[in-house]
Amino acid sequence: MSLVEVIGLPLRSWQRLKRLWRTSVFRLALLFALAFSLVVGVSLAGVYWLSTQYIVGQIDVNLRDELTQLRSDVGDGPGEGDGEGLIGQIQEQVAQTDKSSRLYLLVDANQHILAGNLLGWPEGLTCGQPAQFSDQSNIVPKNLQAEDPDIRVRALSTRLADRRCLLVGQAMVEEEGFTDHTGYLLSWALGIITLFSLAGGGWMGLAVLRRIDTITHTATQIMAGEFSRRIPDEGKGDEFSDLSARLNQMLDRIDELMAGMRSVTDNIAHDLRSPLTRLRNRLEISLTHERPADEYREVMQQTLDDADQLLALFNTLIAIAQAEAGVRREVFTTVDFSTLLIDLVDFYQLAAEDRGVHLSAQIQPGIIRLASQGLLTQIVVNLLENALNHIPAGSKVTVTLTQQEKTITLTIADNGPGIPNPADRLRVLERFVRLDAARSSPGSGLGLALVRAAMHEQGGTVELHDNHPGLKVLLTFPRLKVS
Amino acid sequence: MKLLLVEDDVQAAAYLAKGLEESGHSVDRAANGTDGLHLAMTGEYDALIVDRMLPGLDGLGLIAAYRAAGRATPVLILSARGEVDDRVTGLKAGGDDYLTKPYAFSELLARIEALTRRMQTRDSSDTLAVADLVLDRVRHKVTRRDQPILLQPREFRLLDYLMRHAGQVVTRTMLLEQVWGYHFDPQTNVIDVHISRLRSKIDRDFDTPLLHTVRGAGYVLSDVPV
Repeated sequence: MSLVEVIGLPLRSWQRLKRLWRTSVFRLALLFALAFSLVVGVSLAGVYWLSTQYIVGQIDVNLRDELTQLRSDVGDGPGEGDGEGLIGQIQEQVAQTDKSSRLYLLVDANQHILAGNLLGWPEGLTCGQPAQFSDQSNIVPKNLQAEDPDIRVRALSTRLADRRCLLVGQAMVEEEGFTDHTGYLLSWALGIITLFSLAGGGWMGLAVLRRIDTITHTATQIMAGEFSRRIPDEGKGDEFSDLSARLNQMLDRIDELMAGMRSVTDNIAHDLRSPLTRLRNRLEISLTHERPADEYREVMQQTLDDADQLLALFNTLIAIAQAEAGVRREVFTTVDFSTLLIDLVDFYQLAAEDRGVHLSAQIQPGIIRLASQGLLTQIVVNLLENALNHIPAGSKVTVTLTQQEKTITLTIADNGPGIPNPADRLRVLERFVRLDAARSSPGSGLGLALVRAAMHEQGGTVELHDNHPGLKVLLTFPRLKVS
Repeated sequence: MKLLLVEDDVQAAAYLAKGLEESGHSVDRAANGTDGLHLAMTGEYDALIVDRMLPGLDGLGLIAAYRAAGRATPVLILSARGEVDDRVTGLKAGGDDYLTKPYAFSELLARIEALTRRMQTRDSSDTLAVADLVLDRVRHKVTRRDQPILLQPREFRLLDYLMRHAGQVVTRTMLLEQVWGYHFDPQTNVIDVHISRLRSKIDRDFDTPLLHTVRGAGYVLSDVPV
């Protein structure tokens, strides 16, 4: 028979309790309760000890006063008094304090009782020594013993001139009551603290469990194929809301990548099917009749050109996919942006002159960042060649590289026809998007998509702006610490 | 020239061998790394063409073993992976050149010829000469028919490369890699304009053109018209 059956808890609640015990919050609350109880216990014990000391002190003061009083009342001077006055005084006091806890004893030099309500001289007590005794029920009056059999007594005694000894004592009834009361308070306080800690810890643990369960539940649903599921936001703005928001952002990003992948597959299927079909048909038709050798050669040359174009398309798509997957991030090295740009502008200077385009550069020297040299080169080459291929003779292309406090800004601006429509300026960064005006010029419609993917991999952004007139491509890289 | 082709794609290897043989070379073929290494160690070749991904011993392992045996024959690596760091590991393993698939056959042919030529001219002298064009590598001076020709540093390096490979075809990609150190595929005539600028300096004022364009392949520097 297991414990569960013994307790008779429903299995579900039992499992929930077990899970609660495993939550870090609950354990933390328990630990905290333990530590807190310990602190409270120690401080209460301290208070108790100090109070007892104080009470004993007060008792001693009282006893001393009484002793002095008694002695002066009967006149304890040398050669004075027969002691009868003292005996009478004590008997009077005893009668007055019949029900109280005050004890008196007057003994002669041989410890024979002369007067008082104490039934005998306390064992082991020397006259004149302040003392505390207990467990001497034989000498404590019965009325006091009835209240507490183990009563403790605080006593002060003094040797009188005639060698008699006077003892005044105080049964510590109040003090005992105080002890009991303190113990009582202590247990209640500890009990309440433990109860509240347990309840609080349990409540917090369950609250955390509930929030976690929400996340787990959503994760299970997503794993089961419901990719559009998101963790509901309870709008509390706490760390769980933050975590949920982050996880949702991550899920959105994954969704975006999956959508990207799907659209790439669709686009590849579409964009490769037409040239492949064209290639195939051209070959098929050329084989239907006997033709002169020149004609065959021309068909083959065209086929070769088509194949080259297809291969270039594939290479670019792979480059984009790799940039998006971030596979090259680990091979980033320290790249001197300034030198790289100066060299590239120098390299393209003749090509620009050949087109009647004025290519100039304003490069701030010494700009260094962790990057992929190959990717950065590819980005700049794509943008420069885009500009050179799309602007008329007599235009200008300006390359600028500047460094701000937190960013590195690279712009490639021209004063050609530009892209007037802001929506087009966004759209043209997508794969296979070619604006109608550009259809006639060479290119695959992947150049800017590669720029965007490569910028993304390097942690930067690309924006297309109207240069009034012309196009201004703005690349922004956050600055990184160069190791 | 006698070449060894180690390539596991039998069809691709057959086309390549056919093309190389039609260009006047004799070709031995191996379809895996182990056979390839065995042939390379036992035969005398002018150059090796090794695919990077091979069954058994892979391409880089083959080259490393071959080099460890003290063989200096030039090796061209063929690879489907074209990242810069892949290229670097390929060259570190002992390859002399690295060609990424897909490649044009003319590119492969030009590179093989450049590699074998490089072996012959490795200890080249301080001056290079093609017909009456002379390049002094120490004093950075170029003359043609004893007339000085002023070149920019890049133009000098371009001419230096062309003269070291005089009489053989160099492709645009080879120039881009060897003269400028770039590894991308230009969509403009950027290389051609550099060539035509150089051509205007070395050929314009003289009767015999030396720098020729080979259609569909690249350029050749030669006093014999192509």
